[in-house]
Amino acid sequence: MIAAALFLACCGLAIAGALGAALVRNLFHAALLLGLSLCGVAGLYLFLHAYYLACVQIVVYVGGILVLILFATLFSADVMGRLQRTPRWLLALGTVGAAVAGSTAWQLGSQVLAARPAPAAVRETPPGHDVGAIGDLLLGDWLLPFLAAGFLLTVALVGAVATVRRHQRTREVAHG
Amino acid sequence: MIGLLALTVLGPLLLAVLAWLLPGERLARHLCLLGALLTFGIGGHALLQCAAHPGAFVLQEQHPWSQAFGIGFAFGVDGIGAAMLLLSGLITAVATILAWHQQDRSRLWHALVLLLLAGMNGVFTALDLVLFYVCWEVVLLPMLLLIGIWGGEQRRYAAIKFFVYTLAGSVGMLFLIVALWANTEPAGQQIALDVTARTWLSLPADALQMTLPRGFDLRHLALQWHVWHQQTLLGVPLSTFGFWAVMLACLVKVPAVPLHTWLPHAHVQAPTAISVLLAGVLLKLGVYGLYRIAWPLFPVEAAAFAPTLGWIGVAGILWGALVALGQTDLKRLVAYSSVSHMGFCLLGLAAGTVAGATGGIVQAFTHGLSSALLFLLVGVLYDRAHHRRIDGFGGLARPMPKFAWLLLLAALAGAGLPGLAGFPGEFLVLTGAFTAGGRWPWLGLLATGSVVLSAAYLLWTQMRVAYGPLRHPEHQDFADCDARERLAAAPLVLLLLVIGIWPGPLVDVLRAPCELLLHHVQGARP
Amino acid sequence: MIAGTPFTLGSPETCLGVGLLAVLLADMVLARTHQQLTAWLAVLTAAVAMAIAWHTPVAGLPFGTPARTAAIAIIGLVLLANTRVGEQDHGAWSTNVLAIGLGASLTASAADFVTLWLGLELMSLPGYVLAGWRARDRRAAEAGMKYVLFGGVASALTLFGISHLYGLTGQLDFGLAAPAGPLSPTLVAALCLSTIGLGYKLTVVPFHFYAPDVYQGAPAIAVAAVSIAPKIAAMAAVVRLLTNLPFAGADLALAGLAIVSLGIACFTALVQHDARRILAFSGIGHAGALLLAAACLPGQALGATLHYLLAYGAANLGAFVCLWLLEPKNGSGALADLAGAWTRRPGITALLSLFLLSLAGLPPLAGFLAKWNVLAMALQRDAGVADRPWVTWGAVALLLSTPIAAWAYLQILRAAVLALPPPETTRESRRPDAGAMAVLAICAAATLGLGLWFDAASTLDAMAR
Repeated sequence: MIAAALFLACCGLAIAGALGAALVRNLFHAALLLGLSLCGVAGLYLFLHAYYLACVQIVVYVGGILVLILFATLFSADVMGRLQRTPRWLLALGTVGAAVAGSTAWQLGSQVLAARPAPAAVRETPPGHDVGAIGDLLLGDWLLPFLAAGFLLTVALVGAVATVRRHQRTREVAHG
Repeated sequence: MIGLLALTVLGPLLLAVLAWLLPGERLARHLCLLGALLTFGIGGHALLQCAAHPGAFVLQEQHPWSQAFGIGFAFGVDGIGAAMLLLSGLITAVATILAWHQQDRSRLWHALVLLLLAGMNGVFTALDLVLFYVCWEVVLLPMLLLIGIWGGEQRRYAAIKFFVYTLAGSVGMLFLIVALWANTEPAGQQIALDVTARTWLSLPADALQMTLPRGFDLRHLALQWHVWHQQTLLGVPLSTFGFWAVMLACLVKVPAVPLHTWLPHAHVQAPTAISVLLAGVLLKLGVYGLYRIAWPLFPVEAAAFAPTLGWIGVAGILWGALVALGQTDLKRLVAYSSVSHMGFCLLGLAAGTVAGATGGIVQAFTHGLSSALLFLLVGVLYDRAHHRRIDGFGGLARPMPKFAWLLLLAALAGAGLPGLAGFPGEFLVLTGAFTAGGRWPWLGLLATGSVVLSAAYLLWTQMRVAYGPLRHPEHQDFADCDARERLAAAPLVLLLLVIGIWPGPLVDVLRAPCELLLHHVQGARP
Repeated sequence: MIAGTPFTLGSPETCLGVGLLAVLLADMVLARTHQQLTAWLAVLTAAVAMAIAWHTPVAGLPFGTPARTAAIAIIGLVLLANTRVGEQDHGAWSTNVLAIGLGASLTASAADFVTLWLGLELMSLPGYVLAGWRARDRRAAEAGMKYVLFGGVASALTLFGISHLYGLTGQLDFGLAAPAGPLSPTLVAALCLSTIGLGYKLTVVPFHFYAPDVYQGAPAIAVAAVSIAPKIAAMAAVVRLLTNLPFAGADLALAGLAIVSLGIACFTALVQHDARRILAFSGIGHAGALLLAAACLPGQALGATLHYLLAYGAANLGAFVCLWLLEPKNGSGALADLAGAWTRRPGITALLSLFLLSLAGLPPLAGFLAKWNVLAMALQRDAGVADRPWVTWGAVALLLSTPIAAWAYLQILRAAVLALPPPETTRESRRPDAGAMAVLAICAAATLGLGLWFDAASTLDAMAR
């Protein structure tokens, strides 16, 4: 029962956080809400017995990327200059949406969790001892995708910088 | 080594590139004339060869193109091809002389005319179906640009209509070509040879059997007609499908009623020299396709469809003539008279007699001459008056006597007066129809009616334009045909007279291949 | 054991990756005046990667080797065409285009779904940046936004499908994921979901909505970078999936998609008023023809597919480079703005006509032979090939769409060649430099050569086997 409640809490957190991040107009709030959503997903990983993934989720996404986003938001003069209030109705809508999503998840989750033991692959590896195997895989059989993912992130970063720089330049041109 | 017929394709192609890239407008037009005269000369040579070897394909040559599909650059002409090649060179030369003083982007103009010439020659000389199709499509682009860039008010609409119409007509042929390849035995097909096959393939009289390799040689494809008859494609016999695909492509080009609607637009909007080429050679591509592809490859379907084609031909003859009677624009009138005269070609081929088939191709040849002359004269008038309304002229015989004589000659030739070139073709076609038995005499009778009609609209036009009092005083200053225009008209007039008075040699050369063709068609039983 | 796509140091991906980083570094280090060097560095990277790709066979997929080489070659040509453009920052341009090449190379050599997805993403992300390159333009911004949203959804659905596939089979490898017996409906659904990303890159009909807007909004040269190489790579992945996971009815599904794509593309292209939009619909139609070629697999269709890709790539790249050289300063691709191109730049307009006629499939150009090959494969009735009425109907659709599509291409020709120049003929366009002219020459030579060399497909087939 407690497990089911925790599971539902994680679901609600993930869904409500994502909804909020997409809907609020204040960028700073949006980033914080995104963090909540990411934490909720990390909780779901725990329930799936994927402890390593849950740690990575917290450390890399919440601890690293989200902090970067927050920094970027705080230092961007444009956003700070025009912090907008989130409209009340949107918050209300978000709450209702989260409640609906949560109750649906209740139905699903309580049954699923009760019936489902950990998958075989997870049961074979004792908890906490799968990190080495993951490392072997990433730098062995899956080296190419691993490297490609790195390049993907690099390119995404370069693309973002290029886009922002071009926008700024055109704005400068536009303002003389 | 490149033979003479390959030269009629490659020569103009090379000259086209030179004319476009090398500086100098004068050079370009000389190159264009060179290409035309080259074609004319080789066509004449081929015609003499055909007279010596009746029914056979002369000047044959073969260069490999594709091993995988069995395609070759195969050239060779029988009498029909040689006559058309001669016509193509002659009309191109006339058009070049007409456009001698072309000012606007003239290098491009001459290059496109040369490209057009290469395409037309390729169609007339190809012995390979794929080569035939490629050249058939190559013709479209220069025509599109020649009409679209240098044409009249609505040139873009007319050019694009021409292009899409004819392309839509011919895509079925591409499908057919690929389907033929897909349905032949990779190892080849063994067939028994009859006299037709031996003549076509230039084989000795003791050759009785032959294995035809998988490929696109037109003669090989024709001799395997029964294979197409047995195969099906989506439930339809391949030969039925193929026959209709070829018919559609050719009837659009001819043009047969009711697929003729692109022609008046294209003719009216095209510049004079291009109208001459269009009427003089391009329409003949369609007739040639019927003689070379549709009838030999699908003899059973052809025989079954012939009565309908006869009616289509007669419908074209009458419809074109009636519509021509009501035209107020000179060019539209000549365009519809083309529709009418080309109907004779269809009727002749459909009648299924040697006289008819020979007459059809003779008619195609002589119509090339007379319609080219008519368009040339309309152009002469347009250059001076800048309009083409028939009621805007009158009494031009006084300021322009030579023009009036030429117009009279063209009109009489078009009307089929004995002694001029229009006569033998129409006469042979009508003879062919009258001797074919069945309902054919009725068709012949209806077609004869149009001879009266064509005399009416052509001579009435002659009367309104050239005779009577001078209606517009400012026309008094019109200069008569100058030396260049007379030079362009001269070969046409000469041939119109010669063939009119002495049609024997031409008819003989054309009769031999027609006899073989009909022998092939009539020998084919499903 | 799950085994991913093998990684070797001497692969074109390594070369492209190292080159990409080098370009980034050079962009930071070099002075403004030497910025052009980064562009040439990128061209050099692509050339070396192409050479490596030519000599390094793709493991388990002979078709992948020429396809990968062609995709990298296209990327190299795009880079070569645009080496000298002052208004752009070279570093970002070159990095993004090279990243597309890297993604294409990965996609073409991917043997497992993770690598495939990463490759698709590597092609998409730079695409988003390039599509929004003209930031000031409202239309470009809209196009970029659409691209990102559609791409994001397609990518998410693909990933969703892949996760299902893993859940059902415990495998991510293309070959290993195939169960022995008939596929269960769930597995088929998962497979369909996981190939959405490929459909999106190929612009096949249900996934095509973004293409016209993106093509219209982005500069023509960026469209060339975003559209051609990914299509080649995606086709290689399609071939690999079809050979590793053959399931009954694949030919029906592919031919059906092909018919729908061909039909919708040719009719919609007719009513467009923008050259790049017309080319977008042309791309959709050609994707349909490619799927028809894929529907004829297995058999000798590999050569036909490869030839089609090369012919399409050469003509399309040439057409985009020509349009880019002809477009006015504001980057409009509207047909009205093409008017009088012939008087301004006759040579480039003539080349544009050549490429468009090849796309239209007129003989004796490459597009015609490509169509010929696909038709030959679709109608072939050799021993061992089952009767496939759907494929035959696909061939009919391909043929019927030809004149209609040609009509659409004629609208571009009509504007560029036949229309009168506007009264103010001083409209400026780009001055072609040696690089761009070299690209055009290569494309033109390929368009003519692949059209006249009738045995190209069988030679390519031997290579792709």
